[in-house]
Amino acid sequence: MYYGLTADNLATILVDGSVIFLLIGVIMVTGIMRKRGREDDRLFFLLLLMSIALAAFDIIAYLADERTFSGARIINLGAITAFYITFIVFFMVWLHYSLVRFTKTKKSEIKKHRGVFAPGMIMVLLLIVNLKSEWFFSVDEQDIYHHEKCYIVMFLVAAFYMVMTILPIARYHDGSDKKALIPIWIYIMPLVAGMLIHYYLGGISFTATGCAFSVLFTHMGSASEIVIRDVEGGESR
Amino acid sequence: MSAGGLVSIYSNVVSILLLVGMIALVQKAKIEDPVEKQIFLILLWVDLWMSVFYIIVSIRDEKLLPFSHMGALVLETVIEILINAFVLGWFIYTDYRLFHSKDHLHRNVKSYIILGVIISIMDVVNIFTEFLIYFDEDLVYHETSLYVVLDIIRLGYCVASLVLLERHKRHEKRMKFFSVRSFFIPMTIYILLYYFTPFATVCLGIGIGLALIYVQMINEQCYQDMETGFYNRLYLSYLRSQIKQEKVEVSSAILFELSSDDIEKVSELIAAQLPQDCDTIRYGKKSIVTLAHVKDKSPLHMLAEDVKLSFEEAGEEIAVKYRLKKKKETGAEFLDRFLEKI
Repeated sequence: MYYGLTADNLATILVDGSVIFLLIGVIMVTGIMRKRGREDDRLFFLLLLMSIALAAFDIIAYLADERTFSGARIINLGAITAFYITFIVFFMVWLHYSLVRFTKTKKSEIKKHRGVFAPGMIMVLLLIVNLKSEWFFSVDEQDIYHHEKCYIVMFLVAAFYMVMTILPIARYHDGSDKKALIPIWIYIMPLVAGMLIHYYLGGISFTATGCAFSVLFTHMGSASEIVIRDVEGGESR
Repeated sequence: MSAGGLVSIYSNVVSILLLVGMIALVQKAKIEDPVEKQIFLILLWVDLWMSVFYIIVSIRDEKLLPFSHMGALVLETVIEILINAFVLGWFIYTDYRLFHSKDHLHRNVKSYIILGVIISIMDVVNIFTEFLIYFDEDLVYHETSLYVVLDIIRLGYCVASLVLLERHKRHEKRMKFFSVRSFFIPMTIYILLYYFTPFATVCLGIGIGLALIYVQMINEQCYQDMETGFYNRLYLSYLRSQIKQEKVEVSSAILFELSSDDIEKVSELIAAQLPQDCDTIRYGKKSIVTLAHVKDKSPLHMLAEDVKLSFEEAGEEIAVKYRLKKKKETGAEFLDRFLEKI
């Protein structure tokens, strides 16, 4: 025990803290891009904020986990619920971002297919209901977190959005430039790793870190592709 | 497993994931300068190997695997040499980032690496003499009082790179977005964390610092003219919108019309004279515009004269046009009037 925290909890808190630190740095240095007023830049900023929120909720949950102070269970349950809601919304925003950024889908077209966001919205409502019903997870009287029988459903919804993100991008590139898809696989990897570690090793949470790295790699991968040159003084993209 | 061991392993695993992703992306990225890309990649690889070896050290400290006395010493020596390589690589990166010159680097590299090589040789000799670090019978790590020499030299490299950055600010033409100084913030925080706690999280701190530098590097590329290193016209569009919204003030402007075909050389001449509080944009094939945001008109007027003088000394030709914002007009009106005449 270290300051009343288990080693697992301490490790997660420190790494989540590092993630918040990294993302705040990224927000500061990408300020100039947001001023371009483009929708994908705004969505990228939203994803950064959501990743910070995920890490912050994770820290709160792990700080309150297995503690005996009054209100610890309520804080733990509230933080975990907020974490999973943000996690689902993160995937929905991510799908929107990918469509705008990689496939240049217009807002009107996205609006036509808004049904695709229904599973996420339903999942968010179910997570609120879960505070009473405990279908997905629970926190017992000893303030210990448990997975419940429907736990996997949250990850299936997340996986659905991941597939929905990859499909249009793969179709858009149409096999003509397979190298252009490399960043997409690089940003998928931390998400999948984070979700698997979270699912199988409840003790250590890697989801917030995985989400943050995915956002960061997506930006690094795609921004370096969009080289805006001004060779010979002409403005071109 | 102890909290220190678990935190160290977990943070280094996270560091490895961050660095592997970055290495894959940097290798694929279209970075304008291949030398800069290469040095940056080396820094990433060194940090990656440091993370790997820190995990092995944590496993040794937790006694999860049996290690011989010699094995522990060799492992520690590898980490020490990697740390030396990183601080040296960082200093070289700073130098190249400032001067963008292979010749400059070749001329100075021997003097840069000499101390790094000496402390690395000391680390290797330590395997046989244990005059810097040693392990007791329980394989617990200890440092002798001489170890401080290594720390001082490593710190010296970091301080020297900061001094270099400070002394040659002017070579950083695009100071608005990019500053390698930002790297020192996470690195310092995580080194302090390492000194005051049992958590070996330094590699994660370095990884975060490198990630921030890389994000800045690619952002900057969007607003940068590849040939001159000044801003491009996309930046001018952004700047114009800022001036229209009165978020940025513009007081005067200079147009440099170049005759030379060696744009890189003449842009260096202009860059060497630029004050910090102005924006320089490549406007056309042979025209460069500098906008001043200061209210005092004298510095930019002097700048025009200084640039003319330096061109005369270099035997190059340049035409300089200088305009001041009128009292009644707004910044946006002044900028439009100035650009219309080009």
